[in-house]
Amino acid sequence: MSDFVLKRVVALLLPFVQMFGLYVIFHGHLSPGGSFSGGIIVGLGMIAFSLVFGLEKGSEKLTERTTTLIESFGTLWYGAMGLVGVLRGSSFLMNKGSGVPLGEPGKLYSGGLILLITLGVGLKVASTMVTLFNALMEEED
Amino acid sequence: MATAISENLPVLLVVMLLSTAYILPVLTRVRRFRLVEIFSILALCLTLVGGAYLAKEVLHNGSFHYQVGGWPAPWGIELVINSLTGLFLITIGFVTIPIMLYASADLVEEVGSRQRAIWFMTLFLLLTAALTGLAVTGDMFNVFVMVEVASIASVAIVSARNDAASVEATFKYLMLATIGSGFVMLGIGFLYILTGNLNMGFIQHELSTTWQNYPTALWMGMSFFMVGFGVKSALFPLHVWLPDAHSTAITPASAMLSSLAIKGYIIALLKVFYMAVGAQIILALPITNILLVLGMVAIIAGALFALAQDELKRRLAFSTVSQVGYIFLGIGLGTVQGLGGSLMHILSHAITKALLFLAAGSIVKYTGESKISEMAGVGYQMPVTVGVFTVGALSMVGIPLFSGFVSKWQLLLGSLQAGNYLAVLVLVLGSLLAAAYLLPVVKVAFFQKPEEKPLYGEAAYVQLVAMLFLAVLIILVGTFPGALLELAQQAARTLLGLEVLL
Amino acid sequence: MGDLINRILQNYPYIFALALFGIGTFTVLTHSNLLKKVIGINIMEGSTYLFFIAAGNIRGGVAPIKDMASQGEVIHVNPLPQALMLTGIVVSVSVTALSLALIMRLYKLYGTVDAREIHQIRNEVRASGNSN
Repeated sequence: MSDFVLKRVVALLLPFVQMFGLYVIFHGHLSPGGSFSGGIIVGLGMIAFSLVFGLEKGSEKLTERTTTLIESFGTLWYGAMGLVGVLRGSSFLMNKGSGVPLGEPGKLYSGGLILLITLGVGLKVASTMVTLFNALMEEED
Repeated sequence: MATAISENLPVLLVVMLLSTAYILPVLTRVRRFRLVEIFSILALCLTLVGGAYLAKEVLHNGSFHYQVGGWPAPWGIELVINSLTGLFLITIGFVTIPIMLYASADLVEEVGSRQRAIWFMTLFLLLTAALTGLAVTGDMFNVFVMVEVASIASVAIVSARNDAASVEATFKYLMLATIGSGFVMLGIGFLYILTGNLNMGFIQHELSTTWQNYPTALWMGMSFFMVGFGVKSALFPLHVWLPDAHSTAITPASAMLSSLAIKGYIIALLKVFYMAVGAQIILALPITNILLVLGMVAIIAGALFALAQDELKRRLAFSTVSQVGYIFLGIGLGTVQGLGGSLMHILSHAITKALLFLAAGSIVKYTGESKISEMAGVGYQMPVTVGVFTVGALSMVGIPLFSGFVSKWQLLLGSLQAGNYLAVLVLVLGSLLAAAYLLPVVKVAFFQKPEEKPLYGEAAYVQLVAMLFLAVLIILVGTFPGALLELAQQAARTLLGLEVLL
Repeated sequence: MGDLINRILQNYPYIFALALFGIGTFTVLTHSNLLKKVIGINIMEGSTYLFFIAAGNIRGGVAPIKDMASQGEVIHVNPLPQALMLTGIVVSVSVTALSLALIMRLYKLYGTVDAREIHQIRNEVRASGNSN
């Protein structure tokens, strides 16, 4: 595809799309939003890039190796955050018992471990979307 | 540290398996592939040890609950660890370790590339993790999530080789499994609407007082569960996906699916019926009668279909349909003896069918023949493989001193106690038919001379170790079933509400 | 009779959901085009979302978001089924992706996306004794 308009528009919009995705991820724990929907938006930004600029350029920016690493990292990160509670002598995924402050209504960065978990899940979802897209596209040729 | 581990063991087992599954893809560039295999086998061994520890705890101190995130029951997700959990965790450990060991010998060669091999192991561990999750969970929606993870993982490992036959079987399996999930989800929806709870204990508490007000809705919910889990666990009229999927997958995958994956859904069904809805209501609605009839039909029909197959792996796949019928028959009896027998059969069929599939896979691979009629004289070339196949066949028929006998004897006693002579007849007939479809394989392999001089030898050393491990296990369980049988009967008592859930 | 109609009118979302579920299942089981099967799967999963969301709905309730500015009593709908359905959506996304990948693979192997034709080709291959 060599459409000038398409390329310009995607190049212009991409930062905003990614920003919006991150916004949704970061607001997931105490307000409307969430890691899954945010991660999908971030992933879709990357998919749009691959669609317009070509699969090769897309996978140059984000190699298969990187997406695999991020995917594994996201899952392991979730497990590690859960283990914080166990190591602090309370139960798995526990927030209060592991000594982190609880969330306060209206304050964004106050949800204890949940924000960190949300970040991990968002990364995982974004990279999974890219992996799925690449897997479907590569089958074609 | 030690107390932290033992207190959080149920959730740690699942987390450990999931983490291992996701560490593996990172290791694609490790030079020695053996390291990856040892790593995953280690994780499975830890599962067995953890499961045995939990089983011991439950056997001595009774069931206990674990609250994820420290949130008490109606709000948080609760894990319930009882004898059913212990028994299934031990089964998982017994079966997955030898299968992984067997797979490690020629996995890369079987699936094509190292990367695919690693993906296979990841999916295998994900499936194990989901089954472990099903064993420990006490929350309806958690059941749904674990069932979905197990379904997708088991669908994906069918197509590990990615050839024409297995991809077609995979697609069929995926469609039917998803329909099954839809039914399960609607069933959960019915229970949620009726009770406003997703926690099994709370659902039971709520239903026990109010269920007579809406028997129709409850019936509908239960039938959705029955169809959903019936499709997934290949109960007879709903088994159409199984023979294709299990016979075209690579050997470790078919062994895993046939021996463990379908049992996970039966465990889930038992949890829904007896832990969420409660034995009182299930026995008052005559749901168990339906399962009893379906089980009997499955035993006979599955065995007859198996007799008609000439392809070894297809015959074993239909044999699974027949053996699932035994489990449902035991559930249908609705007595401690019957349910205990069918829980025992879950274990004994798991180890037996895993052994049969592994041995059959070796025979098919090394001789290059998939048809039984062309396997003349295989026994002379592969004495150990065919020897362990014989052990598996005898156990499946239900000869004393093999594990199959223990569970079938329990089922027989249960039917006699319930005064159901038709079930007794069907059980005996099923065993005779099992002899009719499995023993000819042994006969052809040992007592017929091959036409031309064979050019193949015994299976790989590691694979023989894996199969011998299972064969020894079958004989051990068959001769000393003591603790396991006790565990199964305690689980049956707990499920039927004769032993108070703590 | 009036009672029955009243009950139907009050529970219409559930009836719609079950009807949709039937349509979806029927599509999966009867259509031989693989892509239509996937569409059927999605209709079926969609009906379960409707079922759950209807279960959590309260007439006149608002989205379960705590609004610091609003005053007085506000009725929120039940957020739990909505959270559950998010999980359901994740599952159906992965099932759809997996089935589309499988369809592409099948198309490459058999040259068609029709289940009946694929089955025919399979049987011919098996009949000719070449067990692939």
